[in-house]
Amino acid sequence: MKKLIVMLSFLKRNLLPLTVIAVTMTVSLFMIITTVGEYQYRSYARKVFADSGLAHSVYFCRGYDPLREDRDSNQWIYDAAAAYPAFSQTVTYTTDVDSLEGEIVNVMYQSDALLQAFRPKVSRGRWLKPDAEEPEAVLGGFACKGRRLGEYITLEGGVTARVVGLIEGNALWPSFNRSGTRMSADDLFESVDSCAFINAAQTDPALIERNRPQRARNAIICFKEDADAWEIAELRAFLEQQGLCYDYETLLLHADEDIADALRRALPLPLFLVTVMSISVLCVGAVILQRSMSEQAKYYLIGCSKREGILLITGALFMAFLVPILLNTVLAMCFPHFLRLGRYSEPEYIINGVTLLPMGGYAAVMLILLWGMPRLFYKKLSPIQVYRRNLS
Amino acid sequence: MIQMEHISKIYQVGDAPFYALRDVSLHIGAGEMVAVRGRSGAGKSTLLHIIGGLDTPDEGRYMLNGLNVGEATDAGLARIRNEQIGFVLQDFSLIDHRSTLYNVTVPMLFGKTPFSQMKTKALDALEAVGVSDQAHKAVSDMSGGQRQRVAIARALVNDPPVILADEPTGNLDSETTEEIMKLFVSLHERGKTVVIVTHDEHVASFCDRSITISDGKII
Repeated sequence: MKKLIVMLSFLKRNLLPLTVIAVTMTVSLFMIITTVGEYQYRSYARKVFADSGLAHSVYFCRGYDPLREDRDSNQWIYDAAAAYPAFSQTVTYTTDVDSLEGEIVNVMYQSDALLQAFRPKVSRGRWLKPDAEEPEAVLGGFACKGRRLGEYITLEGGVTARVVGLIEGNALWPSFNRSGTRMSADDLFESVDSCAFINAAQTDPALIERNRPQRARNAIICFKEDADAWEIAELRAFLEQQGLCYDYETLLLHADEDIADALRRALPLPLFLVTVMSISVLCVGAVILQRSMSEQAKYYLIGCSKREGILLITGALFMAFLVPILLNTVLAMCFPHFLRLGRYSEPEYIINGVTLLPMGGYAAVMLILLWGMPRLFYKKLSPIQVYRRNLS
Repeated sequence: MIQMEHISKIYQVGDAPFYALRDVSLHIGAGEMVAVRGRSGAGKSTLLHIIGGLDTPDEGRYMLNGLNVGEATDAGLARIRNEQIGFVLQDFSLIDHRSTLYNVTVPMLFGKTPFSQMKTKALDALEAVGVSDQAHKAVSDMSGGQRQRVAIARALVNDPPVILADEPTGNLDSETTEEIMKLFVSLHERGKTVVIVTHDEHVASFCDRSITISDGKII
């Protein structure tokens, strides 16, 4: 309590420069959070794909050809592929745009293969289970608003499901509609602002079909675990006659390249600004220190040790850091909640507790540097030398 | 009370050592009032700083109230300055932008006085030097004489046995000098050990004895 009084006196004396530090640090920490958030967003799809357990598969896609008779469906290809010994299963999905209590919601009916392959991070509750006894739903984004785990939702199309999980914030869902000569893991996903994942096996097919749902144009073709290289090559050769195939490693490699490229474009400005702001904070810190040394020398005369003096200055600077740290922590913790308040079109950040770690690390480094400054100062000049200088 | 044996303080000036104090031995008994005199640069302030635990000697042994000050740590020296010594300096060394009351309270913020007693003790100290009515005034709004009284109140608030004053009347007119010196005499009469660094003969005349320093040596 006593030291707090001295610290508050120091704060009062240096209100303006400490406010400059607090504001600069707020912006600086915000830039770090958004940069890390952007990195998380860019790399999230890659992470989900890498964790999917689809190492033994290829993404098969066909270019859209309006003149081809079979342009609307690849089903005959999947049927033909099933005859090959290396074939294990086709991972695909059915989507629908439905309405939930008057709000538009994107619905994905997931096959058992898909829901086991891709498991998005569920904020509350759990992911869908293939052996569930009834239709289950995991809601994402805006669709989570006001929803509780365990409650039943009924879509306008007639499908009723029990809510077992909520994905707050960004919801990423598989999207096998893209085709191209260079595909990456990122191309297999889309960020949606309001969605519901429902297990297809437990849902009445007639209800699903009622809304004329869309099937994914492309699919992931999985190979049998025990298929040998020749068998796999045979199936791939067949698929490559019909379209393009991308294996797991290629999709990840392209995703890594895309992430690196995106960061190369996104990082320079925030890095430059954070560097400039860090230097500004250190300069203002040095000015505060210079201004405070004469007062510190007076405290030294009446019983403040050098160590206490350094702690008092660092403590006051830490108090100036508290506001930006708290503000940015609140932002990071509340960001998913903000997303639920209204519809956001694909926010390009994933801000959550993980983004706080680099922010905390940066704040700690800055504090250590600011703590080191009075120590260096005292190494050069003792408080009594400062006092003598001021006297002369 | 104050026992110094063969004390030297050496500063490095370029490559050559400069003896600010050279082989100084000194004894000041409890309750004495002593003037330390000498020309500018003679080593008076250095001696005072070592007595007060602001600086440490490079050679010799210094005992204060049975404590070996030369062996004290940074925290130990801080405790000595807080509990054993009260400083009164020529420039008053007050925190100008804060109130009189805050300035007198500060030594207790670094000491053991319970929080609940701090205000009463600070007001008592201000009362003792006759400026209790100025308690909430900013130091920067006070006259030189009033500031020095506040500095003396601050030196007294922890009730230290030793009061060290470095040219305490250097910035004051003769009338105020007289009043301040009377305050020091009253402290001496209350049993405090008072050491005053001065080059003013009139100030020295208030003391029991004078020590003269020249070129870092007591003569």
